[in-house]
Amino acid sequence: MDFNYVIAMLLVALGLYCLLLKRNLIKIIIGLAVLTDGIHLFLISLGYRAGGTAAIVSGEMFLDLPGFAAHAVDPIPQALVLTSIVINICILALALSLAIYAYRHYKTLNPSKMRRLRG
Amino acid sequence: MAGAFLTPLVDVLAKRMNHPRARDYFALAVTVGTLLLVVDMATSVLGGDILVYKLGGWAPPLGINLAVDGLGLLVGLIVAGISTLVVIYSFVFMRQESGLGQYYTLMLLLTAGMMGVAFTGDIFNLYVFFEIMAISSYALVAFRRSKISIEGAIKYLIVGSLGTSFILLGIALLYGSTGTLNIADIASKLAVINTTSGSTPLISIIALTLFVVGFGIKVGMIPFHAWLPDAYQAAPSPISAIMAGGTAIVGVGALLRVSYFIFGAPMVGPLLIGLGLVTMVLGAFMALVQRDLKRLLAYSGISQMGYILLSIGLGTALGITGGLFHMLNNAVYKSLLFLAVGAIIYRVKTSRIDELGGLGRKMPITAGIFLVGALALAGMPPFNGFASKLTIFLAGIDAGYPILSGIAAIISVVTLAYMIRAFIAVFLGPQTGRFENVKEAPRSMLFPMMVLAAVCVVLGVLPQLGFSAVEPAQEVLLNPSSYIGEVIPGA
Amino acid sequence: MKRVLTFGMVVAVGALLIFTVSTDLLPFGSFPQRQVGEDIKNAIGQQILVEAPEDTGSANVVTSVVWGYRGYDTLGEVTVLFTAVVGVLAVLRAVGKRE
Repeated sequence: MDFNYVIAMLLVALGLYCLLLKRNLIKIIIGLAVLTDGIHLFLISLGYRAGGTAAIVSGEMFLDLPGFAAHAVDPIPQALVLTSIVINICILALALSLAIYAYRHYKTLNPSKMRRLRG
Repeated sequence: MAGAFLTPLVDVLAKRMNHPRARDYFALAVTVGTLLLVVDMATSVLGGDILVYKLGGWAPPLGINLAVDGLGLLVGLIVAGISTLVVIYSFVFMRQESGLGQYYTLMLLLTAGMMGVAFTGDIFNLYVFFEIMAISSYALVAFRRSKISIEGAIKYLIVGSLGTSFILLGIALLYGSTGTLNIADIASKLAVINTTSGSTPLISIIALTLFVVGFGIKVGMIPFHAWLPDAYQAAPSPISAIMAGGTAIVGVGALLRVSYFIFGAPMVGPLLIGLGLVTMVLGAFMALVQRDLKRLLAYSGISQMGYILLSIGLGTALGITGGLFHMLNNAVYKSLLFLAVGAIIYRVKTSRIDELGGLGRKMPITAGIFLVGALALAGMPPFNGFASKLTIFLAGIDAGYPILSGIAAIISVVTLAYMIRAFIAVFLGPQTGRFENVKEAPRSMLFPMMVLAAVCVVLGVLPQLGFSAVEPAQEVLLNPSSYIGEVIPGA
Repeated sequence: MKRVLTFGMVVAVGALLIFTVSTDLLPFGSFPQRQVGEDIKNAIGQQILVEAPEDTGSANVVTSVVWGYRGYDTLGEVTVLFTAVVGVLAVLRAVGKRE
């Protein structure tokens, strides 16, 4: 059953909805977080092996490395998601600090009311 | 040679220093060093080689590799050159701002991100460097923290991170369907998939669409362009220059690498032609009605991106050559124009066209340089824009779409119209009393502009130079198999 | 009106993505197999699982990927973090400070 894939894509669509239709900067930023979390979930799901174990060699597995390799899940998406999470934290931090400034300047978090730039 | 790949590392070390001038010169030294390393690599890459460097010594499909081919070199050369000149320009332009330590650090990080995107051979690594580039440019747009710069930065950040998320999703889909992350490896596996099934599976089409949207947002293609004029207007002028001449070019380069290498020309071509046409026409007409010089330049930049995408989408050798040559030229004169507008802002403190007038007598050198840039942008001989636009027209006729060439020529006339209008409004006409005491721009700001203007003229008089620079890039785009063979022997 | 259109677009994109991942990929849990043309090939993760314990000597394969095979990504990740720190500092720096 591809339940994981479907749920991950639902999260992506939900994030997209927040990002495009919400009128509050904080909610938009949350939408961004949900969107990327959906992608992370999808990536992790891609590396799942039915009935697999974590990609850590432990205990008696040291004696049976080929057996370990035949049962562990994919380590690559986990590494990618690790990298990607940090990147998204960075974006969120920057976005929130900009939101603080926007609020100081405009006294609102509604992006459609920030209309200095036109043309 | 391998040292060039360490530029990101060097740049990370570019921490804030205590001596106010030392930090400026350090930034300059790093960018000049980067430029020299790229020029050093240029000799062997222009000779037809592809330099491959395996990071950590892991063989390519498992580890990450860097590969410098013609396309990467072209983009790297543009980026290194423009960022060096912009750093020189910033010495005086930004002197009165606070937080210059962060400014130069972010500038170097932006350069590092762009170089990384240009040279990497791994698709997830491309995403990581794209994010470095994106995050530093968000922060730089917001640098002044005035109302408009915060607004521009927020719009840019939200739209831009939507784009990078799409790129990540595209990468995830590709990993799901091919099980590898190396660009060359993905390309060879997708080619197998396409030939055996006879058609392209839905998942590849979705992934391609995600990539086009993601990179298209950075490039400023028309349906995704809304952030661009705001961000360019809000950013300090040197940053607008580096974004127009650097990040947009890197976006095009990454789009080409991903779309042509991974998916192949026949699938991408019509999409690029369509988007390029819309971008070119609408961008030019929106530029016509702008009242602010920087916004005008931003829209004309969008329009020029349309030319590049259109020409490359044709898929013929001549079309790709014309597009890449135009990309090189566009980077040169667009950053030149932004720097010239920066000089005006530095002396006059405004960039609104109606408030300006009669500056030609007070700032003759800036006026001359602006005129060179404007004529090059409009594609007048003997400047570089003429050579590349002519190539694009010929490529359109050659590929059997004379109507595209016709539209491109008409848009070129529109471009000439709005650039001349802007020039007359700003530099000619009656002098208003306000500008009595305006002086010529300082010398360290004129120097980078003069270099760029000289490049405009040289490339216009001797277009062969430009053609020989884009030739390897065109070959590698039309024939990715040499790249694949170089990265993964025996694939 | 514009909001309705945008909402419709979001729904369409979501439905398309869900349809794609549930039809065009091998079913969930089928790592390491990937359908390449008519052959079933292994994803690169499988090769790393086989080689990593001996090549890197690390018991945790994810660690060897993060610090070994894809070390350059980690360098990029740290650079992103650094960028964000500098960026936030630049945005939130003390108002009116002149150097």
